[in-house]
Amino acid sequence: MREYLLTLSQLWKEKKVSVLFSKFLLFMLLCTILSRGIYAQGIAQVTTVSPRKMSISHKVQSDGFIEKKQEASVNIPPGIPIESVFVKPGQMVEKNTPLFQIDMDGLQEMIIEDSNEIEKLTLQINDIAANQQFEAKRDAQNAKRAAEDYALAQASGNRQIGEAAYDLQKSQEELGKWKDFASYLEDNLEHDLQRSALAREVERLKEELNMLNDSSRSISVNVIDKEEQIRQKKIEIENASKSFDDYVRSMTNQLEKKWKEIKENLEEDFHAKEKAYYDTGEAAANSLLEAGRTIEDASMQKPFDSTLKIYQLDREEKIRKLAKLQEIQAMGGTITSDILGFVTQVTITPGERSKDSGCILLALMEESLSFCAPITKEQKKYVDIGDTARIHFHNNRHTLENLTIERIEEDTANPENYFLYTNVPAKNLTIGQNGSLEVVKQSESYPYCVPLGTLHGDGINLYVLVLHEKETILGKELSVERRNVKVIDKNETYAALNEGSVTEQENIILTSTKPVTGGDIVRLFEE
Amino acid sequence: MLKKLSLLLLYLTAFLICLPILLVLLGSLKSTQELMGSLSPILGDANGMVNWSPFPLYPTLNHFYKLLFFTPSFFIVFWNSMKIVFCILAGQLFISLPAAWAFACYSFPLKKPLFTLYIILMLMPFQVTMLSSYLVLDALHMLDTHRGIILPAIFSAYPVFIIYRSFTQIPKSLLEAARTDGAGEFYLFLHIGIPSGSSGILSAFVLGFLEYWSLIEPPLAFLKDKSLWPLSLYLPEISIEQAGMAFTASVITLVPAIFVFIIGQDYLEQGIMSSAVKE
Repeated sequence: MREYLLTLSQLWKEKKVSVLFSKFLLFMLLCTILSRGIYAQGIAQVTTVSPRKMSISHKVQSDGFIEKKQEASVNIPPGIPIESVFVKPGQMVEKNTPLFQIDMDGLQEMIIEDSNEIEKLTLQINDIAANQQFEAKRDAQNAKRAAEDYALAQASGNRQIGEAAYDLQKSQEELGKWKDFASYLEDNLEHDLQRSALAREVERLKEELNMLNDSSRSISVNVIDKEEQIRQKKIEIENASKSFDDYVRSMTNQLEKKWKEIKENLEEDFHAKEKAYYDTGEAAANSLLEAGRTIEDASMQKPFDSTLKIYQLDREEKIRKLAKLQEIQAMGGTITSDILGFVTQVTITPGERSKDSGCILLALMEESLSFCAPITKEQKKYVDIGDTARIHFHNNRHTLENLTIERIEEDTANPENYFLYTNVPAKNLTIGQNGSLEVVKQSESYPYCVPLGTLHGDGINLYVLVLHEKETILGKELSVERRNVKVIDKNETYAALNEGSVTEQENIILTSTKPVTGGDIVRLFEE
Repeated sequence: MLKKLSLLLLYLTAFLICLPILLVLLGSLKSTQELMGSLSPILGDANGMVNWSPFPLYPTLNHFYKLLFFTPSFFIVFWNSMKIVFCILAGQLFISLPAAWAFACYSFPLKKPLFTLYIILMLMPFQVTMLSSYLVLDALHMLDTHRGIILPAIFSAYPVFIIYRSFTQIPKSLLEAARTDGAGEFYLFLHIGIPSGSSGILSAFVLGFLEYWSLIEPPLAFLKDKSLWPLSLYLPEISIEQAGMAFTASVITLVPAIFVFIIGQDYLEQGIMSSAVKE
C-alpha cells in the first residue's frame, strides 16, 4: 500500500512537473511570437530603387516679358517751348501721326537769337584769325634776331677765350723761366759792387799778410814788429772778412726776400691768369647757352589755342540748329512720327521747353520682338545661346515653341543674375506682355542615376543607404550599409552618381517608416 | 558529532557545486552597469580581479523583460535546441532501443566484438571522429543542416549501453515463459522489454536530453548558418555590454533541463542503480 501510495505520489509529481514544463514551453512559444511581433514592429520598413542609366534633364523656367527690340527717339533742339503734347506712353502711333506742337512765337525768338549769336561768333573768328597772323610774323622776327645774337656771342666768346689763354700761357712761361734762389743770388752778388770791393779788400789784406809773412822770414826784419804787424793784419783781415760776410749775409737775406716776393708775384699772376682763363671760358659758354636758349625759345611751338576752332565749331552748330529751327518753323511747328511704333516714353510737357534727351521714345513695331527673362547663375549652367526654348503667355494662353536663345547678358545691377533674350514673332503680341520661358536640356547619359530622395547628408558629404542581405540568427535579413557618394549632375528629381559608388544590382533606400543608419536591420515595405 | 561534521561537509560541497547556478541566477538580476563593473577585468579592458558582490545592488528584471520580449533571435536558437534534442531522442527511440534489446536478449555471431566496438565508440571523444564525420556529412550534403547534427546522434552508442544494462535485468525465464505462451519477439520487446526496462530507457533519455541540450561541438563544427544554431552556440555570442542578457539566457536555458531532470530523477536513480547492480 505504502509503495502504491509512493508510486502514486511519484506519478502525481511527475504529472505536475510535466504540466509545468508544458506550460513553460507554451509560455516560451507565446514569447516567441510576441518578441517576433515586437521586433517586426520595431524595424523600419523601406522602399528601394536601383540605380539606372539615364540622362538628367535640366529645366530652366523663368517668367519674363516682351520688351522693345529697337527704339527710336523723336528729337528737337533743346530749349524750344512746347505748346501741347498729343500722345501718351503705351499709345500706338502710325507714320505722320502728330506727336506734339511747338510754340511758334518762342521758336521765332530762338531763331533771331541764334542768328545774332552766329554773327557774333563770325566776328570773333575773324579777329582771332588776324591776331594769329600778326603773332606769326613777330615770332619769325624774334627767331632771326636770336640767331644773330647767338653768332655774335659765339665770336666774342672765342676771342676772349683766346686772349685769356695767351695771357695764361705767358704767365706760365714767366713762372717756368724764373730761376732758383741759388742762381738768383749768384747773379746778383756777382754784379754787386760793394761786395766786390769788400772781397778785393779782403784779398788785398791777405796779400799784405802774405807779404808780411814772407818778409818776416828774413833776418833783418824786426820780429816783434813784424809779429805785431802780422797780428794787426790778421785783425784787419778778420774784420774785413767779417764785414764781407756780414755784407754777403745781409745781401743774401735781402735777395732771398726779394726772390720770394718775385716768385710769389709770378705765381699769383699765373693763378690769376688761369682763373681769368676759366672764367672767360665759362662766361663765353654761358653767353652762348643763353643765346642758344633764346633761339630755342624763339623757335618753340606756341601753346595750342583752339579758341578759333571752337568758335568755328560753335558757329557751325548754331547754323545747324538754326537750320533745324527754320525747318520746324516751315513745318508749322507740328512734330509727327516717322515710323509705326509704340510710344514708350514722353519726356516733354506742355509749357516747358524741350530737353537734350529724346522728347518721345518710340518702340519700333517690327516683324519680331524680344522676350527677356531673368535667370540665376545656377540656372545659367544649363542654358546656352542657341538652345531651344518655349514660351507660354498667360493672358491669351498662347504658347510659342522652337524658339532660340539669341543672347545671354549679365545683370549689371546684380552679377549673380543673367538675362535670357529670345526673338518672338510680333503677331498677337504686344510690348510688355508677360510670359513664362522654359528651356529643357538633356545631359549626357549617366550609368548610375538615383532619385534625389535617396541622397542624405549635407551638400558636400553625401551618402546613400544600400541594402545588403545579412545572415543572422533570425535568418537572412536586410541590413543597411552607408555608402559615401559623389554627385556629378542632378536636377530637381534625379542625381547622377560617380562610377564605383553603386552598382545597378544594388537596392538603395528611397523612403523609410523610421530613421535608419548604417548597420540597422530593415525590411521591405508591405502595403 | 561525526555525523554532523559529515553533514556539514556535504552541505558545503553541495553549496560549492550549486554556486555556479546561484551566480548565474543572481547575475541575471543585476543591472548592466553593475555587471560591467564586475566583469570588466575578464571581459573588458580593465585590470585587476573580478569584483563580484553576492547580491545585486539594484536588482532588476529588465534583462528577462528584454530577452523574452525583445530578442526573437533567442527563441530561434531555443527552438533549434528543442528541435535537435527531441529529434535525437525520438530517433534514438527507434534505433537505440532495438539495438539494446538485441544485445541484451539475443546471441548472434560477432555479438561481443560488436558490443566492444560500441563501447569503444562510446568512449571516443568527438574530436577523434570529427573529421571523418565532416567528410561523410559533406558527401551526403548534410553540412550546415540540422540533419547533420541529429542523424549522427541518433546512432549514438551511449543510450544503447545504458538501456542494455536495464534490459539485462529482465529475467530470461520471463521471456521464455512469454515465448512459450506464444508471444512473438516484437511482442516481447514491446510489452515486456520496454515496460520492464523503462527506468533505464527514461534515464537514458534524461541523460540524453541533458547531453544534447548543451551540445556544442558538433554544431560548432557543422553549422555555419546562424539561424540553425542551438542555445549552446548563442550564449558565447553575447558581449560584455549584454552580460545581463547572457546570464538571463543561461537561466532560461537551465529551466528545461531542470524540468526534465525533475521528471526523470527517479528513473535516473533507478537506471544508474540497475546498471551498477549485477545479477
